[in-house]
Amino acid sequence: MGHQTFSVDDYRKARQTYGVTGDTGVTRNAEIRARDTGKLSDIVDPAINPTRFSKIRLNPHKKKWVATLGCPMDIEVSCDTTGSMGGEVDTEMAVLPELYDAVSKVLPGYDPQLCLGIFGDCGDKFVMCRPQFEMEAPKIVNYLKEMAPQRCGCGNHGEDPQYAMFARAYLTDAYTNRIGLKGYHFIITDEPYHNHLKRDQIERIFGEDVFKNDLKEMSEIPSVQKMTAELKQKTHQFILVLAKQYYTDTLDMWINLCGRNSVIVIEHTRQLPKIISAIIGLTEGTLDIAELEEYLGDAPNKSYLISQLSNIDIGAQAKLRHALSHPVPKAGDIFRNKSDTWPIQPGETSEEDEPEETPGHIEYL
Amino acid sequence: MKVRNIEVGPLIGVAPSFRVYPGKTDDGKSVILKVAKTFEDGDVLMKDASRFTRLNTFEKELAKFEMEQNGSNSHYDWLFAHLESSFLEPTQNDRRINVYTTPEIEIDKLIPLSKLRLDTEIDARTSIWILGRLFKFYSLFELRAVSEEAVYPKYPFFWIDDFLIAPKEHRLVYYNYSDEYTSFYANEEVKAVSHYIKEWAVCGNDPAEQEYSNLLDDFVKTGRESFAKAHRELYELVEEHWGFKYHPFTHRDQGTIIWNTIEKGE
Repeated sequence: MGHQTFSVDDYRKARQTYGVTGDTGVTRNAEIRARDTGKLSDIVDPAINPTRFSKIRLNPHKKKWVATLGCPMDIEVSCDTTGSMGGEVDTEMAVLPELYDAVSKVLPGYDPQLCLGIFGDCGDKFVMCRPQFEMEAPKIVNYLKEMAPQRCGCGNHGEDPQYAMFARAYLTDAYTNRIGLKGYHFIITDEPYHNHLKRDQIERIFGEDVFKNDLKEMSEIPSVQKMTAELKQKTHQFILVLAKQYYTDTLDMWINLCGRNSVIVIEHTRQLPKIISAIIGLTEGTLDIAELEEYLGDAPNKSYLISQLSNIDIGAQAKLRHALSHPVPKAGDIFRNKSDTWPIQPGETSEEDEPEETPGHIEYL
Repeated sequence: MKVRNIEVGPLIGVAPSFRVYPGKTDDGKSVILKVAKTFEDGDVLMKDASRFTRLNTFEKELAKFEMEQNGSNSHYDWLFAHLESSFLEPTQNDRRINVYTTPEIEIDKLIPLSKLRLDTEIDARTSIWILGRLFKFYSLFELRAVSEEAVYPKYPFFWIDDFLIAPKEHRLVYYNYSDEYTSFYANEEVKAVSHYIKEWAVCGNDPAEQEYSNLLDDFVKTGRESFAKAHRELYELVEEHWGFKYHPFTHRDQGTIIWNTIEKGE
């Protein structure tokens, strides 16, 4: 599966390659194409192979498999692109290098894998876009430019982010969950959610065969509350609510659904790299709460932000890590089979299990 | 024993979930360490760290505002410990360790308030500054409630074990915010704090001290609607009878009649 990670050079090259040179209008071509064809690009269409994967990257090694990087850490961000938030993909594209860099620093030894999606309203032509979890700049730049934000929202007191949450809860196969850790899930919005999940909408968004294939175990459609509970079993889940909200009950609705500790009010989406990485760092135990003020730099309304971040479940991932039966897999660990959950543990190894140098990629002169 | 850059001293206190040690950093700074007894006990220290962070952040904002308005600030930061660091220590089976400093006062000059109380009685004027510090500390939560537009302030419960005192320097430092219990009722908390001081202080027969004794009785009996109000009333009385000036820590061992003083700079 390779061993490449995100680099700023690759990001710049990818933007050139894909013709994404401006700061705005990143998705213009994809939006026109989606409108003309009535279809989303396959790489962001949640109905195409609806389950998303975050896997540990393994390369063949002496009839076994070697982990080329550490344990993957799935980070899914789904951003409201209705109404005033219609240009948020431009922001996501602009802050991408900073975001990857920031989360990498608070996830030492891990392989951060980003799924940056968008959502709108069921009244829109397309309700959401959801790419695969990726870790390389060209792939992320490619999927971001293929998004088709609808920029509408229908003005019906709320949007439909609950389907993006549903996707992570039931349509994701993440290595973190297999070993007993949790990934991260962020919804970014300025509106409340609609308090229902409907079978026909799930089929519309994730494909008409989704209940025959990916969701065949699902006997009944969960309530939004039950789905959120499932999401919290699998991820450290947060709602980042823009300070300027369209409806006065936005914050209360999210707090009632997700809990006060999971809802953070932010001033602007340009703050996302700092805020998302601070949340991850505090949850992982890699960012010292006493350093939070310095870490956030000159963030607007910093005092309120610190107050909110101090209230999240700090060290929650560290607790899960502590309870694992084995240490979290790291680069160089050997797996007997590609589908094994855990690498070969000390004491189980033979000489041929010893890792060799991770092969480098060819650099053409 | 050494943890990170801190040489850890002998055990000085134990709580159900953590132990307290003094420490010295490589660059000579005195610190207090709270070390969780188990990995799971780290939750208690995490909450302690979160609460101190929030308090410290609010205080800084308040100090900045006061400086802009008046060119000076009330130094609420002198009333509580500053969280320097909170981390999981891999050499200690991932037990959480919180590290604190105390602003503008060396930690070795501080002793537990409860320990001092055990052996001594104090004179009225000494009790006034301790009571004043306690009222001022709790009034910070009232200011925070206003700033957060909360309906009621949320006071930490008053436990004397949570405070350290530097008698000479007139410093009182809150350093344990790990308890889950909080109170929304200023009245009850003012009563509790005042009762503690009343039991400790010995008031003389002169009219000023008698007036103070009556005020103290009233605090104990009826409380006040806020700590800010209680603080104001206390210092109106001080201004009327003694003025704002330094009074050395004056105490005597229990069961004795000779008063001793500890002057600043001794």
